[in-house]
Amino acid sequence: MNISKNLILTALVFPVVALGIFTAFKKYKFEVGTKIVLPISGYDPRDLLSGHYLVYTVEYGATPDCDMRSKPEPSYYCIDSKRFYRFKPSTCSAIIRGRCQYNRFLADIEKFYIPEDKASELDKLVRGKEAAIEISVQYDGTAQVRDLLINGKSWRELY
Amino acid sequence: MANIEKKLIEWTQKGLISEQQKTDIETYESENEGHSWVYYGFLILGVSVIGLGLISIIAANWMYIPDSAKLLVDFLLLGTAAWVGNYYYSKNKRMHFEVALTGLGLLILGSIGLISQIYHTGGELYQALFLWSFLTLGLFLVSRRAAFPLLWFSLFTVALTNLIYQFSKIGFLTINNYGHYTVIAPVIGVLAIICAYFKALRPHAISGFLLAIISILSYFVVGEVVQGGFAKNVGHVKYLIPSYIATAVFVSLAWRLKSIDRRQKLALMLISLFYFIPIHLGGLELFYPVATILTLSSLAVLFVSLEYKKLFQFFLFLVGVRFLVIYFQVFGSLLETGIGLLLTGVVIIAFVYLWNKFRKPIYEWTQKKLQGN
Repeated sequence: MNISKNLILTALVFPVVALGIFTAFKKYKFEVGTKIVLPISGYDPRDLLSGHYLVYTVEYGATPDCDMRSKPEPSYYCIDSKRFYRFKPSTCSAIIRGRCQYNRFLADIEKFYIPEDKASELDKLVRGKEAAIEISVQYDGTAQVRDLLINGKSWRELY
Repeated sequence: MANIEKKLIEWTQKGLISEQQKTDIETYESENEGHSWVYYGFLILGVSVIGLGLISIIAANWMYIPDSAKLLVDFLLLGTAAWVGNYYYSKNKRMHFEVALTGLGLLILGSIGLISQIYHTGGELYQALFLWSFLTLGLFLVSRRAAFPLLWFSLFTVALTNLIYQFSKIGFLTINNYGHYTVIAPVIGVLAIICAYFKALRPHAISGFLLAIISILSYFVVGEVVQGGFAKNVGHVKYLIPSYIATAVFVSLAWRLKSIDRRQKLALMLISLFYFIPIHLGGLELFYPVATILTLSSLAVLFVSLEYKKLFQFFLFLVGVRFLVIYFQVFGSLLETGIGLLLTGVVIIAFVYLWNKFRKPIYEWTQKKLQGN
């Protein structure tokens, strides 16, 4: 073999280190940021690569300014005024940055991973009871799901 | 007949080597290299099965294990795979290095899934695959065998085609969810052949033909992973227009490749035709897995008999992947599937190890018995 050992080492170590940094970044976003609770309603598809997860509609309390276009367009939700904007509003203390697609506002918080054996049970609970998600919102508007709440309590407390 | 045999006959006829030397070379090749690439093929299959088993177990999202423990085990596995790869490279064991490389690549894919689960990241599949492609680009570049570059190419193309469809402004490309998957295989073929034209990329062992034929057949695998034979869901033939165009470009480019002989070109044409047949025939759902496994197995047997190493390895790998899909379809739970795959992978590797260790004694024993009779 004619590849230098340093190059091999870099190729092998880089993905592990990069994944470590990626995990730390996700953990940081998970812990830091404005915590907000938003109600949801949903359903439960299956994805072989992802195991079971709930996919739901987030109830923002306002109708997004979206049309039926399939191509994503940037959109913003102001938490203070509970309104959607096509351009980043300057007067909001916290915003959720997302996109308009197929008449929906999507902010990559529409999926919550759950254990496979609890999937159908949680699905029923989400459908039948008052369900919500707790999210962490960063200053730049990116949001990340922290927990699934059933009647105000974390889903883990049910088991 | 393999190239080495043709060369040996030619050299003997021209008096470059004697009959005895020809026989000695043939004996050496059959005892050493001859079995090692078959051995490598099964080893890659075993590691891939174990890797997919781990992904399934990760996907099962076991709530009883704390997130920190899951991440710790995951990073320990990643570190071990990287260390094993480096160890085998320093020992100049190419084959084992490549196996470790493939294992690390699959583990990285599983790790992205695990991090997504723990931190509930949103986003699309193509974004995760682009991240994987970026993280494993180095592994792709240092690989000198076919298995990992093929895996990398396939997943990168899935990401690329999904991205194109996501942002495409052309209506007919986006209307149908299933039709666009058929374009993946020929696009991989086109990319592979473009690579084959660049001399710099040739040492990566991705001969145009190998990648092209693999990509065409990966259609079956990708298709069945998505929908257990998605051809029936294509809907209308117009959704296949991009696939037909990509296939035509692919075949015409492949036809110009000098590294492919006439026989391979003909095989390529036939398989390209076969690629579209199930879509137009429709019929029983069972047709797809049966047809795929039979085709792939026949090709693996054909190529091992012709001593085409890489083709044999690739088709063996595809047979394995197709069986994995059956696992997913048969078992209800991802945890059961994962454990089943993990055990299958361990059994394959154990069998390969034992076979490699006891092959010669068994052969000598049977020879003695035969001579005794």
